Amino acid sequence: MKKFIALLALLMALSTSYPASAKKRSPIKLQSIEEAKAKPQRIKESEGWVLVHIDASSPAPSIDVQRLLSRVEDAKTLPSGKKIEPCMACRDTNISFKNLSPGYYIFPMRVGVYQITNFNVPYYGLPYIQDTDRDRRFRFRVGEGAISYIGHIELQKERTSNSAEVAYLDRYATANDELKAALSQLNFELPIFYGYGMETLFQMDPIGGKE
Amino acid sequence: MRAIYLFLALFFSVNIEAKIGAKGFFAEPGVMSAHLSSDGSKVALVTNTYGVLAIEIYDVEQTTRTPVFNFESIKKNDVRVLNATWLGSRYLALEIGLEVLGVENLLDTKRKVDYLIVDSQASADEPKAYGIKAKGVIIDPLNVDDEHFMFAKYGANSRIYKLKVSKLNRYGKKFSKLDRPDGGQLKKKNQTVSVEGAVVRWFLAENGEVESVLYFKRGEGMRLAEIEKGEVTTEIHAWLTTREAKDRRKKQARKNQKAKKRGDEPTIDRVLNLSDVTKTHFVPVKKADTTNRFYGVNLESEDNIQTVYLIDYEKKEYKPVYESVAYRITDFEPSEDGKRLASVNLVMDGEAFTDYLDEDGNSTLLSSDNLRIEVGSSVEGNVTLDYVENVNNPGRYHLNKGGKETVLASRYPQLDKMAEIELVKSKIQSDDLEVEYFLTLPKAGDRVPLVVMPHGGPIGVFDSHYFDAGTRFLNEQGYAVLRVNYRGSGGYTKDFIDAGKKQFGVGILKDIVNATSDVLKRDDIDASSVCIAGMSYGGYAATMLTLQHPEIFKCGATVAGVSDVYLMANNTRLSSRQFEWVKEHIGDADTEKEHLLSISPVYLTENLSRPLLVVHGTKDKIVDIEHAYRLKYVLDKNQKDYEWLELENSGHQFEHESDLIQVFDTLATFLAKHL
Repeated sequence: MKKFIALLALLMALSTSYPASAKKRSPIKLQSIEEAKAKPQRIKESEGWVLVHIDASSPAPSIDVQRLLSRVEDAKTLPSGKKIEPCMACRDTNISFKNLSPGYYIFPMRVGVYQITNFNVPYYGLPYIQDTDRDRRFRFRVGEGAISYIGHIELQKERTSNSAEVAYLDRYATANDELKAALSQLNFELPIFYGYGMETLFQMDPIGGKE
Repeated sequence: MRAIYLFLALFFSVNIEAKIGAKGFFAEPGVMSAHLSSDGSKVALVTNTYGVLAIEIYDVEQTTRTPVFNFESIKKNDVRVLNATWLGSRYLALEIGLEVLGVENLLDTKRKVDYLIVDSQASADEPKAYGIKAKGVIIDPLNVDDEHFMFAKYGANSRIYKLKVSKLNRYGKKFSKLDRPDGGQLKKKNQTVSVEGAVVRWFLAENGEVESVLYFKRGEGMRLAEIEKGEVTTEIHAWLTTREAKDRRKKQARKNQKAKKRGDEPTIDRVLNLSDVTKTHFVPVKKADTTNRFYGVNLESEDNIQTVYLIDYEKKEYKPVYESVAYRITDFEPSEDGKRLASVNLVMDGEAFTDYLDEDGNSTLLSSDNLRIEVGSSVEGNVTLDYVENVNNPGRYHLNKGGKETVLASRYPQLDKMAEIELVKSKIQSDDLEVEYFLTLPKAGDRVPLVVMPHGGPIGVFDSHYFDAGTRFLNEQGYAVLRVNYRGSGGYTKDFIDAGKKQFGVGILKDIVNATSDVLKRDDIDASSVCIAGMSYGGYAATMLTLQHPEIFKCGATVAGVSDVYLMANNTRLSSRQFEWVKEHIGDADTEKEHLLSISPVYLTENLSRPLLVVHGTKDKIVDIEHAYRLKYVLDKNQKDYEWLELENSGHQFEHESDLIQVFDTLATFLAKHL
């Protein structure tokens, strides 16, 4: 009987456990700078702010991201060219850009190193998906006690062909003045953290933070 | 008083020759293309007047030019003439690209290709043009027949019809209930060839008859087959994937086992026998010299090099006959006998040109001073139309009749009066390589300032010594211009291209400096007045060499240039195959990070001691605008002397005419200030 109960418990545990790669629908709510200024979201202790510039134009563009590491400092240790197993209990997160006009958006995410695993650009009969889970060019970092600028994401349906154009670009220098302007609107008293990629090589003057 | 004014006016008109400005050099051509009719009696000119296209007919006998059609009359957006073919000597069939606007937003906008058949006997006031409603392609213009042509209709089953032009519907005319599409001519009576499958390509014999066909056979994949008496006969080749071949082999083995048990002879799978699964993606494009030999491409090429192959489907042999590293191959033509490849059409970033090959298959792009291309010949061969271009000629069409040659039209009429210049072609030894350079000198001055203009790329791209608008614009402003085909450039040998591997910030720059030093020894060059300017990689080289050699270069201009090589090596717009190519040819961002940083101007600007011009388009998808902004940031931080021009909505090639004019006007002003 004991054996039977143990087996039953194991079976139940197995049937309710979450596979590591299972996809979770996005609980992430993106706010424009104006929305965040008027009514900022609540942020948990283990989270940092993410700031991203989005230019997406298809009916339901989104990205899937996976948290690889919990410590930003360890990002450099990640190898490139192969799929990295996500950290314990980390799940894929879908971030939807549906109905977002081009501009800056801010939202909280757990501190750590992330991999963009998919770009989804559905366009009527074109279910475009770009798989990037092995490519280290599509990683970003979310720092603690900071607003992490993670770059510019472009998800466009090509005008003249049945293809989509996807880009994830480091625009830290190009966006520098815009980032300062966004920060001054937010009144968060937090510095901007350069979160694109796995390390910061091009050093610029820090933006924001307490005087 | 009037006499004084008159004298002054005369004095200035005689002594001051107006230089042609950037507007003259970077405007679209006035004559886009010219096409000789098969009997040699007419030449159709596609003209462009401030963006409005028109057709003019030049009568070879009468030497008159008559407008017959204006594209404004068809009221379509953004029309481009892609190709033109005479159907005999009366009608001209134009393949036109149109922009079809979507209903709700520009995302729905698509480009559409139409046939427009213009009657050369009509007048521009009462133009006559026909259209073809059915989707397909004109495969034979039937040169000796003014009324008819052969049209291949696309579809699940493909047919070729002989159509009469005058029975077609008028182009753009709304249909009434009584009108039949294409005059009801697409019927069995007019059908000459029928293939049960969707044809991808028709191959014609010299007499115009269809000889073979590449098509998708329903449920069985792609086939190459011979055509006789209008129907498919012998199959030449079949395309099977490895999996399909495996399944067929298994099926065949089972079938033969059963046959063996019955005591029957084993059968051979004909399709399996025809296919060559290890090289399954070699696809024919043009006919070669025998039934089984074709020129074609490998659709699954693993490397970045585009190659044209001579394919023998019988022997299952595939021999490369032409390779291009940086330029995309858009088309190619075999010689008349099909024994060799005669020409290859290439394009890169919107710039298109043709590479003509000699008897041994070598490129002639850099071998002759005068580019002369026969663009048309009458059936009898007594009238020919040539396109001629050289350093002093931006492109003219020459008509040859009975041994007499006349200039028919100039592609850029506004440049007909530009000052003649001198071209010097020379070579230097740089390391163990022979590097060619082209120096163009304005003839007027004794000692002239020099502008060094390295080309973009850097791998596989090259400068030719024919007409180049940017170079000639600077010559017109009084500068000598030096262009260097540094290591890695195309147009020479594969070894020379390979020599450019991982020399982005090292050997290539050395070649440019060595060529510059060689030129500075000349008496007609003012060695104290030298600047360097370039686009894309050329912009990178300009920034680096201004930094490294202030003793040579008094100023530098980077247009759409790379400033952070590490950022470039991590560009997310690169496909995984392109990313691997960058690793091999420029550097691996993972293992060679320090090297890439050491050759990036943004980490070195502290040493800059000469003024810099930075120009970039905000929509540049090849070299992102971030490169310009990083450079701007460090130039500001280090308080360096620089000028800045950012062009909204401009791409890597400054596709809009007005943008290109602004770029070169700004460059001219910058150079005039520092030289």
